[in-house]
Amino acid sequence: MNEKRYLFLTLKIVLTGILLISILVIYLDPFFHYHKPLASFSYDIENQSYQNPGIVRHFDYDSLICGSSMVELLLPSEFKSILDLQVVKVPYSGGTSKNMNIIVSQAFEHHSDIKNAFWGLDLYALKSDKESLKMDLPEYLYDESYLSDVSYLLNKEVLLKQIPHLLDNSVEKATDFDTAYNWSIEYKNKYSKNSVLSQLNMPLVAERNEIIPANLDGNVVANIQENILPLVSQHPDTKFVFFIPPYSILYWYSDLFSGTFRNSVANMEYAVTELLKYDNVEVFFFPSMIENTSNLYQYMDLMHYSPRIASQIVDCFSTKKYQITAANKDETFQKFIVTTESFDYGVYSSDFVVCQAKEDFSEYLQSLQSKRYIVCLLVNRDLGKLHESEIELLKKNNCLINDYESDKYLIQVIDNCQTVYAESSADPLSKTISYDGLEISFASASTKTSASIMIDSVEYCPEGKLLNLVVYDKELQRVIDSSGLRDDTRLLMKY
Amino acid sequence: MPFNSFIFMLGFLPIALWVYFFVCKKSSGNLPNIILLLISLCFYTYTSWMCLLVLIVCAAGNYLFYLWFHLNKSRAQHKIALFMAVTFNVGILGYFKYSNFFIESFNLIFNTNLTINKILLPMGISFFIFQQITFIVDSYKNEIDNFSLIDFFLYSFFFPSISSGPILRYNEMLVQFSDIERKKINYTNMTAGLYLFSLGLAKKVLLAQVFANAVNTGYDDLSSLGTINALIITFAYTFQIYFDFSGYCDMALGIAKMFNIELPANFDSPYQSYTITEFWARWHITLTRFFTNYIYIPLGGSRKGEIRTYINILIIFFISGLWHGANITFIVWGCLHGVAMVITRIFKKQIDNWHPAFKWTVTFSFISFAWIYFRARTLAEAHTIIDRLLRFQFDDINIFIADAFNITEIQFIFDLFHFSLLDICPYLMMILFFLFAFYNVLCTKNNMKIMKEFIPSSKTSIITAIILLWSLVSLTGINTFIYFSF
Repeated sequence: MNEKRYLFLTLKIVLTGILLISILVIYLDPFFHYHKPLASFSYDIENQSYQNPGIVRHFDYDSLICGSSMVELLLPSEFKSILDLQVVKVPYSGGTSKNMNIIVSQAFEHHSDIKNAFWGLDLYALKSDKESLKMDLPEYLYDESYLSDVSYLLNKEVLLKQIPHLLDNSVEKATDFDTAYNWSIEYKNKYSKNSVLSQLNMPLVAERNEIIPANLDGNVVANIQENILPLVSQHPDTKFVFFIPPYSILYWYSDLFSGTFRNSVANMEYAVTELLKYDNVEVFFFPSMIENTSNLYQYMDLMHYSPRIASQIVDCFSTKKYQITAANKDETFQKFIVTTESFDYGVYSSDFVVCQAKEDFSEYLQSLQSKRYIVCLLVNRDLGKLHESEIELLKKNNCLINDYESDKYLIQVIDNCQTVYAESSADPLSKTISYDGLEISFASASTKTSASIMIDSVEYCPEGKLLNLVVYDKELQRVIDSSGLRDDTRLLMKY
Repeated sequence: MPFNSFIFMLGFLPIALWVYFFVCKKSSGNLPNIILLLISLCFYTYTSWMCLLVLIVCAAGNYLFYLWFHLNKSRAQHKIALFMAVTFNVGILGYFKYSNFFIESFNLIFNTNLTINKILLPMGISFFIFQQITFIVDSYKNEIDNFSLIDFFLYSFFFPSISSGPILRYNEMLVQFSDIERKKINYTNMTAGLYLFSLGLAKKVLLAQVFANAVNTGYDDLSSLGTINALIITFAYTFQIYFDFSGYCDMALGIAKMFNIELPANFDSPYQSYTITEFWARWHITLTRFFTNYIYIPLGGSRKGEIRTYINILIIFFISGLWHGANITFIVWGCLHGVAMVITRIFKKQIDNWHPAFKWTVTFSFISFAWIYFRARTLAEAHTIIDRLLRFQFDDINIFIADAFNITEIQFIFDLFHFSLLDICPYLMMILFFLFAFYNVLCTKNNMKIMKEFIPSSKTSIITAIILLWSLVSLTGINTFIYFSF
């Protein structure tokens, strides 16, 4: 073979390869850079930096949601059913205000007729540098240059990872936008008081640091003035719905503890005041949802709330509950300060036995003997069988009906050490009862994926076990303890 | 503009080749060289026109010094001019590359608080300045034949070598720049150049990058490393730096060859060396040539007695360390090699009697050990690694380090054929990468030799095309972002 033929053959193979790979990537387009998802494939939407620009360019929508991980559980389907809006969700986990500015600007470039922009306002994002990004964005997906697309077209991660994954997904099921960036299934067992408390690196009842005087953060001003307000003023026909997410009350406690709480409030107040100067702005202040923010069983850490709260947020956009206006702004912030500062955080310090040994089980049951407590109990046969010794112990402590047989399912409510409701059966049980103003729902494994005890629609058994106990304190009017007996270790596990 | 970028491979290089040979075909005289110079300036401008300006000022200054040598016949004046020229070049290098290092060191030693300024660092300035010094010294020695301003600037800015060498001598380039035969498209050179370029690209993109990922993973969490993992990242860096730098040089040589220009080889299977002396004869050859001809010999070389020879060697390696980077770690690295060179020289007879396998093991281990200082960002970081190596805590292999070797294409193939080998042995790819790297550096011919024996065929054509395609799709990755890392 002569050199010339070698050269042309090599170039021919390379160019053909480039062409074929490019056609494949353009056709399937896992990052939606050229078109919206193909109907015959189920796309996983889980790579925010790479897929968000394609989403805002090519998807059909009239509204969008942006923000941090705080908006990731909001469901487009609920926006449709409650608000009749076709929304797309383009969050950046841990994203900065600059991240939001970039993606919202891109959305307006391609959809000038956006009706609503729902924008989760996180204090940390407002305090970040106005030019900083959470991570470097792949510019080739954000710019308008076709030349830079080569980084997308000739990309082995796209070719050998994203596309095979997409081809594996080619089922009848269409792309599900409710699951986009949604971690609720992955973390469904993590909503519990224990998860939240484990994130709090400070004592619950302690001397607090000196209050730091309220100062306006320069970054907050810069972000509001340069990353947010220009978009609001440039698009007067779009309604901007800003909302401060409902972090758990312990998030604010950590601010209180370090003395920065008043400072945080001052900065939020500045942001809200500036935003409310515009007619096309609505602001919602969800830290006021105290009944939710103070129930740690609806959180997986200090900030991240459950799907139930996410649904309530969408409801509020419709009912205008927790909306903050120029008229009620001062009152709302004042109320929030008073509520947060006067809250009894000691209610989260459990005096209950930490069950690290089998012997602790007995001591734990004894501690339930109080007239203050309503104990909800569920035995789920699908997940194991109570041992005779355990049955004896439970009976001795008035926690089990006398005629219970170990091969049966059981639901039971005990108040003031007396059984007020009990039902056992050889079949799985699923029941909702009303007692003392509470709506208590029980479900055993065969009727649900795992055992479940819900009180007023809040799940208190995130990882249902064979024996589950939920303790409601009538004085504090809240669930103060929840635990499940593990079949393998025979130890009580605290939620 | 890196050679391993889309803009270079799919845009700049093909256009540059076409324009150059089109002009060569249509005209003669100086025009092709002017075009090649413009191409080179465009290449550099892509990085920063401000930096280009700095280098142009530097080259212009050296041209004036050349004129001084050329027009003035006084030997005494020549010496003054030489001193001024070297000071001028070293001054530029010192200002742009070392100012902040010197200020930092001064602050540290004298507990002062001098301000550190943001100074731009022109790409390839270390190579550029050394090359300018060779020109100045050769001018001083009256060894410059047939000077031409265009050729001088082309020699200074020739794009395949400007960013990372090799460090060229004016005369070896001038002959080629002025050779009319080299202005015609030569398919033999074009194919050999393309082949060498693709091999270099593969070394850099497909091998060095993988080792780099493992090394970065290890260095990001040094405190958790035990002896095994410290060893793994130490040897991984040994391979990373070789594949990276020699790959880049292969690409430079390949590109130059496409333009019918032969650049001197910079690597000759250095990890096959039995002694440190041999290593430096095979590693970064043009740098060693520079140090030997332009510093070591003028200092007296080995002509002034043993002690003076040792001192000269230590001076050379101290400068070499400093030249490699503005950090104390590079100086320590250079000094370690200097000391090793001196020891090798003192005990030459005894070392010659060692078993070759033992000699190789000692040499390779020393080189790898010294690279720790080259890679570490601080002395403390280097000492942490050494501490981990010497603790003899034989921990499990860090799964994240091993995972760096589980490259996407292998996972794709395993998934395709439903192999679960990586589940059974997560370290499999790491072992294979190391085995291949050892085999490659010890048992195979280096790319220069492969290129010399290269015969175009359908098989080599397909191999070249696959390597090019594979490297192309490996240039950009996806940062997998595990969401919810709020």
